[in-house]
Amino acid sequence: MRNITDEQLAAFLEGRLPEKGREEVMAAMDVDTLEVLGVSRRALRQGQLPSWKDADGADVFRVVHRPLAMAGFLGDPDADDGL
Amino acid sequence: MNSRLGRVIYMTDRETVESLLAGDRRVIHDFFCVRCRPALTYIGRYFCQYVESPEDLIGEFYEFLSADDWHKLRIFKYSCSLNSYVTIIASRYFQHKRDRGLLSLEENMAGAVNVPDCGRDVFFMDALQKAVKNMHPFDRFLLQRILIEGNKPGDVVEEAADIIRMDGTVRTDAADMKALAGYVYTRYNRARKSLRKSLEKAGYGG
Repeated sequence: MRNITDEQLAAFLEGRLPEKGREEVMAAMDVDTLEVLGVSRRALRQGQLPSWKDADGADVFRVVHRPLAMAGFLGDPDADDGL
Repeated sequence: MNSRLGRVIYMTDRETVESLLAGDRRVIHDFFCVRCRPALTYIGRYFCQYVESPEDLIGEFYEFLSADDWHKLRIFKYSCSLNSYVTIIASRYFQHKRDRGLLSLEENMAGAVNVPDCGRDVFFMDALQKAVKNMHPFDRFLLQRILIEGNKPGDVVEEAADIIRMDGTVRTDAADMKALAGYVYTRYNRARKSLRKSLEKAGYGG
């Protein structure tokens, strides 16, 4: 059976695989992979922070979130936010 | 884009990877100890019942990810976010570590439940559902909440205690919640192995 690569599985988790790729992942699915998907989905939620748009006006943003945002930890990391 | 305001830097995933590969100590620290910390802590606690401190987990994962001159990052093609990519790598790493530690639980303790051999035309999730249906209700509960939903075994202990009280068919000597947590962890792993065996028998995985 074909192994699913880490990147393929991460893209599957994000819903960024084309249909053919999704079918390949489902065809190679097993209990271990299912568990990895479940725990990874939960784990990613642990570190979720507000997006730039939501956080910019909040008082707490300046103190807590801004340093993290500046370090690239908020929102889409590849977006050009004009900094 | 990479703009600096004092020590603060905004970095894209590509820039982060390049800085990690270049051995930038500040980026390495921020990446592992700030950015990945919540996810790594969650994953570590999910897979390892007697978990080390978050620092130990982070240190161990750093060793793994940086091995072979950061091979895992060098082959990254940016088809997904770096966060998701690293999270999947960490989940697989700690899953493998747990399974190595559970070798003593192997074969004899995890008997396969019967699941019809449906052939390759039936999807994995259908086969999974059929296999789970044949299992004990308490095992079904554990597989649903931990395997499928991704909750940490420790997070379902109170719910498990309620079910055990109401069910009456689950036998455990656990005298307190700590012992029950151990029971839940062990029983979940046994149920998972049993499920895996059943699905392998039906032609999925293995």
